[in-house]
Amino acid sequence: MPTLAAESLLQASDLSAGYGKIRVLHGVDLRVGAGEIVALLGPNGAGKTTLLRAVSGLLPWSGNVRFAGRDLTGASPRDVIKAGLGHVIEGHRVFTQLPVLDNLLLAAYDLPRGERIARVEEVLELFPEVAAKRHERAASLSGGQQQILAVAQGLVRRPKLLMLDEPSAGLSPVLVDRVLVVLRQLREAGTAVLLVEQLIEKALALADRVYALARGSIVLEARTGEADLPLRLEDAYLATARRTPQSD
Amino acid sequence: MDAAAKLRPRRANVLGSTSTFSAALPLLVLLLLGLGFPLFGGGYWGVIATRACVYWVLVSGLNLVVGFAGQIAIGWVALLTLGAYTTSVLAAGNVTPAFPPYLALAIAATVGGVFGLIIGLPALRLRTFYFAITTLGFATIVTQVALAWQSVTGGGVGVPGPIFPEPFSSQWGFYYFCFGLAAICTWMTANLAASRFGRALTAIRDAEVAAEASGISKPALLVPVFLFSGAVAAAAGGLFASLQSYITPDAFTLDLSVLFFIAILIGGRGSILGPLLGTILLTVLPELAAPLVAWSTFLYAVLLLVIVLAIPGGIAELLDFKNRRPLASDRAIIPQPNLIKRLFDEPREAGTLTLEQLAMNFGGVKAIDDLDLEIRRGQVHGLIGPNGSGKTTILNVISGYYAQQHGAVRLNGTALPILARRQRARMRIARTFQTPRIVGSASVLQNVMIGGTIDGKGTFVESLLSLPRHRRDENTLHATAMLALATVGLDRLAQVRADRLQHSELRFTEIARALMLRPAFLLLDEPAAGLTTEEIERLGALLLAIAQVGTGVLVVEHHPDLIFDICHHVTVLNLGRLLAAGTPAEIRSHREVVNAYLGG
Repeated sequence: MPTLAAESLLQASDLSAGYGKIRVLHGVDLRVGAGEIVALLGPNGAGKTTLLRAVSGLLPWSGNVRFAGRDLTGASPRDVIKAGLGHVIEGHRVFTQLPVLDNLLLAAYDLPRGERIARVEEVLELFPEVAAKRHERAASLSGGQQQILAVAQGLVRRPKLLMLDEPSAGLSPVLVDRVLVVLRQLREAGTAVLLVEQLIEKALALADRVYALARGSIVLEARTGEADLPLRLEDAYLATARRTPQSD
Repeated sequence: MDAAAKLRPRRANVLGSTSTFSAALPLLVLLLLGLGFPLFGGGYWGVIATRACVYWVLVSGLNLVVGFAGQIAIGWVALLTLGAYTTSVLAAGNVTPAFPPYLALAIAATVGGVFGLIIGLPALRLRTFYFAITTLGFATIVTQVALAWQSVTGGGVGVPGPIFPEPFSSQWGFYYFCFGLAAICTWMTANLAASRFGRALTAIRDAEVAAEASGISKPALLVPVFLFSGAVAAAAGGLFASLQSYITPDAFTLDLSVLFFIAILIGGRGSILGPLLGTILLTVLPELAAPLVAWSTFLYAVLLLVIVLAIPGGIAELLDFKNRRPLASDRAIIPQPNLIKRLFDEPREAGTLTLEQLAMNFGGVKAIDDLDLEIRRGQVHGLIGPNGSGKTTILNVISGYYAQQHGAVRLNGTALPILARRQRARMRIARTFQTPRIVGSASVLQNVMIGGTIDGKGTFVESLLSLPRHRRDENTLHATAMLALATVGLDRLAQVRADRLQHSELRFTEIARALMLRPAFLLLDEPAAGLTTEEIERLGALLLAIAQVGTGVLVVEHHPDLIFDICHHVTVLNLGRLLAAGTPAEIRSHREVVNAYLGG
């Protein structure tokens, strides 16, 4: 289907969103192609989390968002995830009172039982330290292990596009690397990834393309292969810092 | 920016809050309206207005329990009943010699205080619904006793209410009496709300773990609150009896109890003005819809649902115009580490915090296994290791949240008592949390001031009455908190509601709150998680400055750059055991550490 292939998997144009009357995003254009890893970078407060939350239907937004050939206007978070768009929210928020296994089963609650169990097992193989505690309540995991569990929840459904909000927060360097390896495997299996990350170098090493967001607008879009990228990124970041009056 | 000018303590006003006049203005308007009410309304509306005042006397106290401390006390009508009967029976003199009505009211308030404490005590053990059920139980018991104890209460026939002598015997005289008491209750609870006690109550409600780490004792705080709340509720009962002129157990329905509770919910938690308006609204509403009186419970339910759905923060949120202004989106956190010396102005001695053969199991799993560790004052000590290697567990043992099975934590050689987390604050051991624990509905400044709660000198009663020691405490806390906020670089956001901040700002807020203790040892749990590279650099400079003034800093972290940049000493854990310890340079090249943790 050549016409469909030309369209990006996720295509947001003129996307604005915020909290109540407070606007955070001002007309953002962003696209993610099928099987592509896109990094979304920017200083804290730039609107990265807001963007992800808007796309997955957790915040009201205006503009135009299409996903897998479908208009997401008015779509509920449930519709969005059913359409194949997964979202791992920031801050390792898992169901602490439930066992690890139930946390994962819940993440795919509407799949047929047999398939659900098979997928959970598949994901557990990727993260042995979580698999070892499968029958314990998630509260007994350390903060970093809960973060891994949250990422694992995002994988269980095998979404077409997985959005991750700072998956590395609270992870040890080796574990960060392992999560990144898993994301690379995802891409090889055809899943697209939209990654919000503070570990800029690692994100750039993984991603195909990068957006920089500052003050609610995209200030940079580039392929990660471009030679002058670090310089341009620094400019994009510094544009924020420079405007802030320095204290004496 | 002239930091000194900004840090000058502002005089606390009657409300003790920082934005002086605007906060008190709505209450002053209500005061004037109330004083002038007899000019407009008359007859029946006078009774309604008096009833609103009586209800508010009760709700003002209950508001501290429900709205501030977050305890679900539904059956508070028990205290109204108790106060009504005590005042009436004592004033009527059918059991004892007749007491003058004022004395009877005072005795009722005293009895109410004691019973308020008894009804409230389960809150120290039971949570949420369990506590709610016990208060409902008390409400039922009191009504049953009133029905059964005929020789005193008159049973189902009831007793006449007290009549207050001149000048309070006329309709408007009695109105002014009730209005005066209501005004005094408003003033006292507003004083308390803006004191360290009020802030500590909200901390217990929304961030109990952080409250404990700041040394706030839940029992010591809730006991005076229940005493006060019970006393004003019983006093309201005495007034209620007089207003009704004759009371029977039927007058004290559970509907009334629900009304008090809902008045607080629709008013908004942690506010004085909101529940006050809520009380007025719920008193007046049934009168406007008199034909619908049979539907009153239904109307409450609808009102509650609408409020919960449309404005979850209640009337208080509706009136909170200040926090609707957008914040600058390109704000940056710029700490001023040079200010730290002003915060730690007293000379500080050396000292160590040591872990000695520490071991701790979770149901057979060894979380910490025979660990020795020494943290020196004036140094930054890094604690790193794979996820689940026991880093946070160590922090929790040091700060008293977990009990070790073996070994000891020693402060300058003295073993710290196990699980005594509140005492850690007095020993000047402060901490932050992996997930920031913040009171979202309070301002950033108030959140930071919570950290200095134990350094206040004034008592609960002094705060209620806004006596000089209370005002001195508030001025000192305010100045110190502003200094701490300037140090971490958040002074510009001092007045903003904390739940409007970004994640990285919450991390720095927690550090400011910990600095309020002027800690000898500061324990930080992943302070750099979610921070940008720039913010991490600034955090590093700040932590170094905190160590340089003689604080021992223990950092649990995953950012190798931060750890290797600022630490004097690094300990690496694996599976609860020591994998390596040494200087950053030694650790960086340690082969096992590279394999197990840093990666190639």
